[in-house]
Amino acid sequence: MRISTVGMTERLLVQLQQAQLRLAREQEQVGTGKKLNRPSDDAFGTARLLETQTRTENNMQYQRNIAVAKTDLTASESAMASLHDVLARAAELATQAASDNLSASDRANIGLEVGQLLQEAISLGNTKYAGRYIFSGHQTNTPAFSPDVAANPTAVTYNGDTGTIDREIAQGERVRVNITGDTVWPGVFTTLIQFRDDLMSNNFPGVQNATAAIATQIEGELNLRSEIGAKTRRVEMSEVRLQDEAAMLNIVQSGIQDVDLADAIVQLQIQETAYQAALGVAGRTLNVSLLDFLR
Amino acid sequence: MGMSITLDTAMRALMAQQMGVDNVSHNVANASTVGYSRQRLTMHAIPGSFVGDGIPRPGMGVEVVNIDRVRDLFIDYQMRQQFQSAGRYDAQAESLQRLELVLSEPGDGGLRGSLDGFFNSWRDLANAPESPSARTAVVQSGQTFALAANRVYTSMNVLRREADSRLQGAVAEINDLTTEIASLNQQIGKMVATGTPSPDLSDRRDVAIDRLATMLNISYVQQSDGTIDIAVGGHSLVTGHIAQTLVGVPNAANSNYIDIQFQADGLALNTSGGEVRGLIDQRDVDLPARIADLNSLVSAVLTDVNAAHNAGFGLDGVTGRDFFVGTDASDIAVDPLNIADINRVAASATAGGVPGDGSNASIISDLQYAQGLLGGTATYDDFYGNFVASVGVDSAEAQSRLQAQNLVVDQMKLVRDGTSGVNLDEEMVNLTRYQRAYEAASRLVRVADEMLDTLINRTAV
Repeated sequence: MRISTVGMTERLLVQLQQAQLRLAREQEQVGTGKKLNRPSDDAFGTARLLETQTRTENNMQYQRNIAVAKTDLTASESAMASLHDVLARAAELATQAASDNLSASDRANIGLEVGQLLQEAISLGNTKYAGRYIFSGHQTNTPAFSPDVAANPTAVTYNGDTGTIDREIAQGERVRVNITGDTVWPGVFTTLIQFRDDLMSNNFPGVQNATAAIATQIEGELNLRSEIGAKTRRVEMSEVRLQDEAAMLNIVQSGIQDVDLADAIVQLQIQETAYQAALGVAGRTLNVSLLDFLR
Repeated sequence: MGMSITLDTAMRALMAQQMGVDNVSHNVANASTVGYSRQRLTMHAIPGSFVGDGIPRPGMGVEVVNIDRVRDLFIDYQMRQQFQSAGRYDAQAESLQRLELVLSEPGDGGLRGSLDGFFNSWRDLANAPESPSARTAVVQSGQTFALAANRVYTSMNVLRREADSRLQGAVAEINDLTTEIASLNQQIGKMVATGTPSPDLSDRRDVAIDRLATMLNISYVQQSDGTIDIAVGGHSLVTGHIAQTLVGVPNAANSNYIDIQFQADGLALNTSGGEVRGLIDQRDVDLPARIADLNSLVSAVLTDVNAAHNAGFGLDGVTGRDFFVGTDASDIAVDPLNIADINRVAASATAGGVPGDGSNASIISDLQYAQGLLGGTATYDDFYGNFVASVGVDSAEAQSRLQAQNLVVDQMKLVRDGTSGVNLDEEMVNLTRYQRAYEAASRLVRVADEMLDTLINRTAV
């Protein structure tokens, strides 16, 4: 077959360009660490990658939601735990006050302490966390409870509503994280007010009933706390599941787009060698001509 | 009589070999001229004169009867078929590759990132409906999504606009080429009529036809007078020395993009291949279909979010307000009133739920999982994933077609070059051959001279 002189150099040039193109492709992969840099590199992989990215971002969002849910539940739990301490102390005082050999002034003194416990219970009911009154239902900017007389309340009004606050802890899965003030709280307040008034007026039968009344309130408060505990465990399980999923998504994502570096570097070296060989061939053949031999 | 014949023969030989050297010189000079075909002398031996006296006489030497180019017209024809496919795929591949850049997927800067970020900002708002910063984040991420949609829409239309200006450039170039071909036709026709071959002009015309073939799906016929007639889509483009001028007429019904017509009769240009076809397809078929897909996605997000937002209540307790304004990807934006007053963002599902209820924000974020597109089978993310994947598939296909086509073209170029290209080594050999023949012929002159000297000066006394 015949070949022209220019055709030979052009052919060499095409070969050099192709070798260079292959080299550049390998360099891009090693440089970016990615084999998928644009949709046409792998269209199906791109669609899967987009889906994985969405799932990863939502997974991170749900992990954030879970963090919020956990602090919400913790805030309720710790307020309820403090309420428990208040009620436990009231129960102790009820046992003391039920003793026969106490004078009226002794009971009045206990009544003063119960008055303090009532104030503490009201302030626990008005717990504010992250700028929100947590027992007010949806009325998160309004203190949940207000006493009729600040110094010596005879009645406590609930200012909130029955609104539920949910956290989305996974796609389509929601957990209620708030306890509204209309649950155990009114009972606690009336029980404490009644107990205090009975102590002050030295109403012995009333004082004797206090122990049982307080026990009922403690039972209601414990029920709510065990519910919070169960929810916390559910949220934590969901968190573990999300962390597992995040790790799995990471592996999938890496499988779709990341380059096997060892393999890519070997490929890069092969292409480099090929390019050098092409350069060598060009360097030799371009210099040879019959003109060198005709004298 | 014999001696003068010898001298005449020697002179013709000198002239013929001189022409041979000149021809080598022309070939060498054009070794790297684009489209040049090597030229070849055709020499004939001149037979001895026939007198009828039965005495044999030697021939009378050599004459150059023709200089023609070495060219395989069938290869030309085949190559031009490939050129028009390559031109078409080239336009397609380039447009799709640029579209991939516009989408900038996979990555965080694309529409997917801003769409998902938008829905996650509603989830954050559901966690803290009273929080001004969560409201601001919803408004801003809505704006980010809207701007990303506007940007992709605009960039896709810029691609259409650019295809159109490339078409305008193509019309100008085609007119230049057809004018050149027509004028070369005229010159070649004259030279053929006078019997003088014109290989160099034919080469120039072939270069122009090659280029024309990458732009249009042309057919052509070589006429006996040496001219070539060219037609496209059944309409004459060049006839003899007359070229039909093309014009681009802005079409108001098609965003003022041009329709390509023949100036003389106003008929539409009709080409099934070449760069022009590829550009028209991108501008009028491929990109508009993809823009329509983008619009269905963005309109769905806009309508669905607005419907859910209308049902909710802002911090001010007011309901029945839109979140977005606009109709599709071209003009979607967050309602400026919502930007001015973030309390309008409707996080609560009831009037009484304000400020602590975030359940309407949750209803909006759940829209991300609703399969409302493609006949109730696809979420927004599914739809967008398909959209990007189809760009990827088409781009990869166009690139690999173009590559395959270029490989074929390169191979054919080699074949054509093998026939028509100048090989310097070969020319050196020819040069040596003509040089030696020239030396031998000049030697003949000397011998004839010596013989005349013998005859005239030494015999006649």
